[in-house]
Amino acid sequence: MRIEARQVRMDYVLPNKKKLPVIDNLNVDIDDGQFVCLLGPSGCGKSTFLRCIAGLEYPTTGLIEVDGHKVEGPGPDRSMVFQDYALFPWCTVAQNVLFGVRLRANRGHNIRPEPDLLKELIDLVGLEGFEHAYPHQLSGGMRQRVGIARALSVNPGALLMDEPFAAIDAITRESMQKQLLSVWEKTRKTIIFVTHSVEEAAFLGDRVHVFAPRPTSIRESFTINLPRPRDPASPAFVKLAQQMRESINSGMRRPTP
Amino acid sequence: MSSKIRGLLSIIGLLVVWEAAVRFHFVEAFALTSPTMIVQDMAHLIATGELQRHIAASMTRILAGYSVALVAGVFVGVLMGWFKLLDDFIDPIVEVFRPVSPLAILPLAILWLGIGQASKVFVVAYGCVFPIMLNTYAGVRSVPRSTIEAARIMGARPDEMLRKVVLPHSLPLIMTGARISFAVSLIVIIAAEMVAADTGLGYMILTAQQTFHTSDLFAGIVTIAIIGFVGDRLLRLLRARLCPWYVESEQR
Repeated sequence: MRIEARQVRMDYVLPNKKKLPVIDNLNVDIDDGQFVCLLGPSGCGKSTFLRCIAGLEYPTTGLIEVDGHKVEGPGPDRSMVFQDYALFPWCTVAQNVLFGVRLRANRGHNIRPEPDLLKELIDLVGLEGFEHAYPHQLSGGMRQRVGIARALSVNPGALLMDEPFAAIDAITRESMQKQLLSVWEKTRKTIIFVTHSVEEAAFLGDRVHVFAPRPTSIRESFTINLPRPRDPASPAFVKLAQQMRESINSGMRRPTP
Repeated sequence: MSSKIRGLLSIIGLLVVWEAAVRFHFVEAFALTSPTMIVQDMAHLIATGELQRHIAASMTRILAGYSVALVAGVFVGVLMGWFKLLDDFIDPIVEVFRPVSPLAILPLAILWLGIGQASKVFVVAYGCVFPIMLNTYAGVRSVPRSTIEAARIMGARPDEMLRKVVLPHSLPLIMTGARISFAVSLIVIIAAEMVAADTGLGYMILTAQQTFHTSDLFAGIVTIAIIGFVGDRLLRLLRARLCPWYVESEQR
């Protein structure tokens, strides 16, 4: 899935009717099958931009196109993985994963037999044996595996991930990152991954867009050619991370009056 | 010694002290019947079919009013929770009527609906509808934004959102409302039957008092306690059956 953003501007209207500019003149091209990280400080507007791609929010002006079509609203072609997992607590793992597929099946769409699809997705994210568990019985890392399987179940063109590992402990996070890369290598979905961790962006992305503070736009873009699996201790990786960190910090400086 | 055994011992201890107090004439049997006398009296009331008749009368009214309240409460609660506009219109009405006790409404209900079943069913429904409605409302309002968005992205239409996301999410709170309302229904029906009825446990208790049949009076009270306890247990079991994810997280 190709995604293009042209001169995207977005203002939030505050309760006192004042406009708060969140995104200002943002342009970006995302190629099909790319693993793209949106990196920036908390509250800068990178998640808002992701939500605009998802169709959950709309730019005030400017255009976002997906495979040449303007984004008109949310849809299963751009499925999302949430920071708080957003699982359905009344559904078992299997019911969560098959939620979207069953909605389609109820409308008479011809889809793959459920057991095959379920097994494939469960194997893909490593949840064997937990099909009938409820989300509250699972750890954070496992819940997010369910979130990823659910997002993949509807065979999207792109996976939009909004700080998916931010609430997961550091050790689990590393294994989740590796597993996400292996999922990506198997499925070759376009992935747009929002994070505020320099190391995470450098470890995962083909391309990393550094977002400036609010009102945000892309400050600098990095293309990462380091072979995977990447070694965060290697000099090349450390240097790259340092460059990204400088790019973020240069944006944090406020002009002195 | 588990806490269940301690609880049982406490009840047995109370019964023993109570029985002894009456047997050894610390209190008059006229004012306080002993547990064994109550059991004998209840056995007698059951043998004559009298107790069953009153229980059936009360429970019929409760179930009728309770069912109406359940359907109406869930329906209005969902509407209020889901549509901000309806919330704005309905909420002031709810807030005005909610503090008005069902018993204050009873004379009006009798004036409008007569002395028959309808007025009693109405006050039960009136008393029960608020806990169910407000709990349903709270449930609907507490669906996290990201949960709604996840379902929208999966392609859920508004009707599917309601049936497959909002209602299951709200079910534990709806069941909580249902439990509160069952307790309310017992309170309301007993009072209503004391005012205007010729059957039912409320009528039985009041008549027993007026005719100095103290053990009948106690038999009525014990019956209400049993119905309340069993009913609440059944509703808890029902909730555990309907919401396995919720009960388990409560026990964690």
